[in-house]
Amino acid sequence: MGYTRVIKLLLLCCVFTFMTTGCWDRKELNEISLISGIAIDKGENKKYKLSAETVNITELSPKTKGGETPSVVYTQEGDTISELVQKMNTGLSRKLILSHMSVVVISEEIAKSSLMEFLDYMDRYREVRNDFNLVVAKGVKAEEILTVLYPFQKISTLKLKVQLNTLQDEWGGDPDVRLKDFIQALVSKGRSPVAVALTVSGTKHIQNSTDIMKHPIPPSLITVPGMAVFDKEKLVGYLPLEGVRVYLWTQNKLRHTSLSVPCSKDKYINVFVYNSSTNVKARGKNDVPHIQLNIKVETILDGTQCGADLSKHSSYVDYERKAADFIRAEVLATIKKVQKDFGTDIFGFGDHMHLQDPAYFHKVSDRWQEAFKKANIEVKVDARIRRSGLDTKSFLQQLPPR
Amino acid sequence: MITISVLVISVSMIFMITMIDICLYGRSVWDTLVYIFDIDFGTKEYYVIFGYLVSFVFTVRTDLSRRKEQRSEQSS
Amino acid sequence: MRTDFVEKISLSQFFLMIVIFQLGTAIVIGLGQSAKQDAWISVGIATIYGVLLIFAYCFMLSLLPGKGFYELLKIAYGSLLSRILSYFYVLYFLYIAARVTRDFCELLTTAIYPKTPIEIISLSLALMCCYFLYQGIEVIGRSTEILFPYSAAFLILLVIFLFINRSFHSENLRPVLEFGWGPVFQAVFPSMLGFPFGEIVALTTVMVAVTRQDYLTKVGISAVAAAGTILMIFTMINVSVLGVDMIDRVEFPLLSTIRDISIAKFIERLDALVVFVMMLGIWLKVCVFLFAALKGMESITLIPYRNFVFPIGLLVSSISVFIAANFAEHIEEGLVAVPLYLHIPFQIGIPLVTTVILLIKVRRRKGEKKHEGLDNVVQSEN
Repeated sequence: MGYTRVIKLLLLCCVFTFMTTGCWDRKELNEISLISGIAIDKGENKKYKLSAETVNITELSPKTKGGETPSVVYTQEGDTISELVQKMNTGLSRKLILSHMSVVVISEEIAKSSLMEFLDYMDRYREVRNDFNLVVAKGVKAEEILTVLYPFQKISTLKLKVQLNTLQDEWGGDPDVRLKDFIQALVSKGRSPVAVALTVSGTKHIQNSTDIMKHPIPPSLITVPGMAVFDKEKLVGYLPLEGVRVYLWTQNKLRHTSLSVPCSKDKYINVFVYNSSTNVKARGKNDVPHIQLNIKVETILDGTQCGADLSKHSSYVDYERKAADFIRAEVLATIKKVQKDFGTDIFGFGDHMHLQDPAYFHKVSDRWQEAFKKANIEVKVDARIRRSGLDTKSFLQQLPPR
Repeated sequence: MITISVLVISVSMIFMITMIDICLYGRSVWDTLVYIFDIDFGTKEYYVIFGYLVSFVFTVRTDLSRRKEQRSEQSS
Repeated sequence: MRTDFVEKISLSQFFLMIVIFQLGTAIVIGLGQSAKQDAWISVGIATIYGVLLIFAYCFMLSLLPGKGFYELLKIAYGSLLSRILSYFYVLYFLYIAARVTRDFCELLTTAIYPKTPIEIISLSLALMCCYFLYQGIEVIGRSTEILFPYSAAFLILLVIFLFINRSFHSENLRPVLEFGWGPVFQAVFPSMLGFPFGEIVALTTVMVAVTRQDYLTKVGISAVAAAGTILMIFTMINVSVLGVDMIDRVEFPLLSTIRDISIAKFIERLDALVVFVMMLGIWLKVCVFLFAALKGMESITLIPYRNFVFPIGLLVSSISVFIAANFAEHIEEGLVAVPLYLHIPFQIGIPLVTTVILLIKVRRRKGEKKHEGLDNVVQSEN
């Protein structure tokens, strides 16, 4: 009897030892280092060159900072991104965690040479989430984008994240492209992807130094020149900032923006758009796609250089018409420019056609880009100005005429 | 009796999965068995086999104790 | 071994068992992907089939009330043939239990524990199920009843979070029936017949333990209909959140759907909720399939099934490691070999033949009983 009891106790002890050792996959906090952004360039000796920016957490808190750099950037070359991420420890100290990436910067060369296959790793790997911005580095190496620091956010990629978010919200300057959107646009027959472009501008290009944060006019600053336009996997060109706004309008994603509408020669009114909705109708007629955009905007008059009396309804109607014409002209011009210069449907009109006129779309789906080039685009804008700030009449009216 | 039936079921299961593999991929019987078990590959399959063997030992023990009970019942 | 366990499960427990049994793996792995955005229609059609199937099984059991599935086989085919059939059923149930365990192990190692060997997960699950089975079917029924509210709460939370996150894009569900009814029906036959609705055949061994046998059919049909509706809704949710292209690509659609949720930068990465839902479903499925197999062994060897629990449970765990060397092989086996050669004969073929034979035997017995009854009456009058 004693035997079985002893054996049972021993077995229990073994089982408990087995169960209390903790998880096979555990990673302690002081063993990991967060990557806040990666940059992918074309490698000189191998296919890719990966730069990873890791966060030096003690530098970020006001209590513990000591004048060190808030982030460390390290570069490696290799043939696949997944191998490079594991290999980063040839220079960096801890295990790298990709979950909290804010930005992935892709160099122009990679995008132009259609080397976007690394996106498969991002899609497949379980640590990578869907909430980072995909950006294209214009005119500079992708690595340089990671090394320009900024006083408020300290880490360059965090600054980029906040910057792009704010730009999209305030002016509509960022197409808000995430990994899932990019891949969906790549795969779908009716559209091509876009990504915001970044460049480094400034009077003196000192990067790689925390001294940047000591000047009121930053010697180097990352700015947004516009948006990169892709034809499936290949980068074909850039659109200026106004083009980004038009793109957001066609996607019904524009939140707020600010328009300078001409009211007479060399004088402008400024309208702040606070509500915008777009409706896209797509139909195929006589083997030509007919796309109709209905844009409705609600605005506030923020400033005027013309002296109209804003207490009268007729002034509002006049300005509303001018704003609508302005928006219409801008949207039409950008879409036609994309049709002519790039010939690729970044606006997703093909997807709309698929939903609304599937019969026609099935006919042309294999050559949608050509069909898009000869598409008939019609834009209707309905602009409403609801109010005009604190003043009804402008003080400019009361100035003595010159 | 318990041991025998467990053994029979085990062998039948192994036979079944071998047959399914052969039907799907058309390898020879010996190759399929090696492929399935690949014990020398250094993976952790020892754990499950070990677990099965431990439970098997206990089953044999239960079987023997049952036989003992039955025999004592019969004799009494 | 104790033999005085009372094995009864209440009607509500039976209802929940069916619902969680159906939802188990299907809700995470996804159904009808070949029908693209019309997958939910395929699931609806499969639900109708499931309802008919459980009605047929309940009918078969109601012919000779109080007798379980294996006893019916014995009555229909006689001792020797029923033993051979039960043997094959035992092998079938154990194989399906091993496949289900393997599904769960693949999910955990893909999403959460890449460095942990799958043997460990397989062993842990098998040991847990063995212990539950050792305690009896009543414990399994009660545990299902206790754990179901959490599963339901998580699923409802998921839907609410997806709604707040504005993840639903109804245009992904359109155009409806873009390619006509062809792909929809092709998705149903034959793969959706076997999984998940056909696996109710394992529950027929459990049905005899339900307390109120007269409500069996009604409860069964409503449970299958409820489970089918939930599956349909979640298929729609998956397609509308992920889009048709992604549904084709990902291994676990519901997992990818959940990863879309990012509310206030705080509620993100809710993979654990999905794993919990799947864990409950898998645990119940493995328990029920093991129970069905053990009952089969009990009917062959006439030894109480509790003696077999641990070796057979660990056998399933070992087999789940051996059935496939990698995920692609596992999927291929499931799509090619299993539905045609395993599900259809065991789920439809043999029960159908059994029902017909039993109908004939019952009619004959009723005829004899009528004569016997008249004789008794005549005798008692005298």
